[in-house]
Amino acid sequence: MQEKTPSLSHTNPESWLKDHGDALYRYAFSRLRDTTQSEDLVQETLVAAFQGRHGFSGRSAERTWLIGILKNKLVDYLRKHAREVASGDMTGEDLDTEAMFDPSGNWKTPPSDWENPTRALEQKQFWKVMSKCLDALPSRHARVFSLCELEDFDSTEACKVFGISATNLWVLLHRARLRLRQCLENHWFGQKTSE
Amino acid sequence: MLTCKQTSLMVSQSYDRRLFWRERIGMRLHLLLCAACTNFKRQMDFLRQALRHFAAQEWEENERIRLSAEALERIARNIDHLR
Repeated sequence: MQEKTPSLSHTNPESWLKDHGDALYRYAFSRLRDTTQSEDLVQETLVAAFQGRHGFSGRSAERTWLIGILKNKLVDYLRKHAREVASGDMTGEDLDTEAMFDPSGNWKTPPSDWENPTRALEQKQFWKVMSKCLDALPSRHARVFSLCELEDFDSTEACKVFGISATNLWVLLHRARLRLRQCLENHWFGQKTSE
Repeated sequence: MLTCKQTSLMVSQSYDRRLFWRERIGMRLHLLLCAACTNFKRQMDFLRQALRHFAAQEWEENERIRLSAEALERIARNIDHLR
C-alpha cells in the first residue's frame, strides 16, 4: 500500500469531511446558531472546495483553506436570506429592548458594575453562558451581529449583504448588544455578585 | 442633555461608526454624570473583547459541538459522487 501524498488528500472530500467536518460545523454553528443550516453549509463548503481544489496552493493548511471557503458560503447564505433581516421594523423582539427604558429614557434596571469581567474569559462555564445568550438572540439580530462582530465586516459591507440602511443596521446591532448584556447580567455577572 | 436610552445608542454606535463631535460630547457629558451608563460602556467594551475571543476559539475548543452521526452519514452520501 502506498502512503497518501498531500496532493491526494486535498482532492478527496471524504477525507476532508472526516478530518475537518466537525471543525467546519463548529465554525458554521458559532455564526448561525442553527443545526440544519450549519450542516448544509458544511456540505456546500465541501462541494465548493472540490470544485475549486486546483486553487489550493498548499501554502495554507487544509483546514484554513476550507474555513476560508466556508466564510464565503456563510456570507452567500446571509445574502440569500437578507429579506428576513430587512423585514419587520418594530416587531415584538424590538419592543423587548424598548422596554428596558422607562418613558423618560432612564434604565428600568440600571446596568451594574461587573467588576473585573475579564476573569470570566478563562472560565469554561462562562463560554457556555455566552453560547446560550447568543442562542437567545432573535435571528435577525443574531445574523447581523454574527457578520459584524464575529466576521468583522464593517458597516458598509454588512449593509450591502443585508440590503438595509446603515441606520437600520446600527439599531439592530444596538438591540443585539442590549440583549446580550442583559442576558450575561442575568445568568453570569448578576449571579456572581449575589453570592 | 441626552437620556440614558440615547446615550446607550451612542455608546453602541461608537463601535460601528465615527460619531459627530456633538454626539461625542453629549455622550461623554452624560457618562461623566451617570454611573449606570458608565457601567454600560464598560460592559460593552468587555463584550467586544469577549466576542473577539469567541470568534477565534469556539470552533476549535468547543468539543461538545460536532456533526451528528446522521449528518455525517448524509453529507458523506451527498458528496460521494465527487471523485
